[in-house]
Amino acid sequence: MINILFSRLATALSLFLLQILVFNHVRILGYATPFPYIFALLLFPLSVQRWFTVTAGFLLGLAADMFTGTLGMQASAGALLGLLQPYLLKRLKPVSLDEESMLPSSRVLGWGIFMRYAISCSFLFCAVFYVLESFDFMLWKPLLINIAGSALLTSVAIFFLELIHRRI
Amino acid sequence: MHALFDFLRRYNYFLVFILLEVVAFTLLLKHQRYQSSVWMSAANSTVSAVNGVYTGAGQLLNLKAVNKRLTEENVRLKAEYEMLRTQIKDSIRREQLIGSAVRKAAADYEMIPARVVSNTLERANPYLVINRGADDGIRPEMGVVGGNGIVGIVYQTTPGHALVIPLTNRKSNISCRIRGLGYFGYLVWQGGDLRRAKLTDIPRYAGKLKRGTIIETSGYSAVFPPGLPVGRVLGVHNSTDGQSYTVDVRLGTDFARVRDVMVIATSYKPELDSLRADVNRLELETENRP
Repeated sequence: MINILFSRLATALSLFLLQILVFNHVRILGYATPFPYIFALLLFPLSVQRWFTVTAGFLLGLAADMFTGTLGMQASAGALLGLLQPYLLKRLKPVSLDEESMLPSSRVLGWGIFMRYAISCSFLFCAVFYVLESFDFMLWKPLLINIAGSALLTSVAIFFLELIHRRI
Repeated sequence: MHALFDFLRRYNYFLVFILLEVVAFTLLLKHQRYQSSVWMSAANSTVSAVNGVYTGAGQLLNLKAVNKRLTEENVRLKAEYEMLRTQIKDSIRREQLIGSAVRKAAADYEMIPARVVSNTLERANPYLVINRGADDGIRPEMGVVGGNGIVGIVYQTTPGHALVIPLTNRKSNISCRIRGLGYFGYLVWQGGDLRRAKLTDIPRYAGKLKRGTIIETSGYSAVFPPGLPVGRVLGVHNSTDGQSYTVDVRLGTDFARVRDVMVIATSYKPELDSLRADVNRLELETENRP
């Protein structure tokens, strides 16, 4: 249990460093930026207390905000993701799997379900983040491009992270 | 109470979520200039829209009271309007002939407004005192006119006041004529009724005088300009010597109530006086010539 906690912490930290050092500087066509650090939130099993996932999402987002000058935006999106991540997981998982012991990974869920889970979470996070960033629905076209592009990019990044994670 | 605590225990994560979102939004609105400006302007416009709705609703609720007040005011104004209309109609009928005639006839003369401050009607030969005197440009033998006709002639002046001999004084003797006919005579008062005087020396061939014909100043005395109304014909009868008519005149001015008057300062009275003096001197010279 302690081992799992530490490995999760190590994963979160390395993802976080990766995010602030590499992914924050990615701006494909000036629109899409990936946020693969949310992968750390996706890995929480259903047995974890809900208040913990919410707080973890908030703190992770807040830490990321500090390095991008978007104070409050990623924290807000992260807290919402922490709240809804268990719902999404519960809804997408096969009925046969036990809620308490199940770990959300491609090995347990299968690639199809895991990627649907990852894309849903990415989309949720990116939508909240970009809506807060533009704070206005007048320019809805670039807003939609931002959300869709970043969600797609984040999902692709999570796919590769899951590939690596699977090997370990 | 128990249910509430149960609810809070079961959904504690939701309260955590709300709290953290509030923190996140506080940070966002405090540190992000763009978002905070958008937030402030949106909040302002929302507040003003809500205020507008409130004000509109308040005005709508007040409409009944406003309507009642307006109706009351309308009724009051209508009544006032009717009263004023009849008053104006009456006063026009009364003043039209006399007031406008006074204005027209006196247009070329300087008018000094004055007020009667003393009125000794109870005496056999009454006098009036007005509150304008020599300092205001009033000299003896200036005419005094009221709103309904002439009042009298200035007799003496002090710096602040003047003594006026009214028409209702036996000493008064003013040259008058009958409007439209031109025959003139002298207006005298013989005591008694304050509103009745006599116009003497109207020639018998003047014809039939209609009751109600206006008697006006002749202008011969230079005290009054010609055409100022004095009164109206009441009746005509023969004079005591049988040579002329005496006309009963109802005076326009009510001397029991006279209050606001005008003193007429004629500019050419000195000229007329000097001309008359010349005439007198000429007559004297011709008489003295052998």
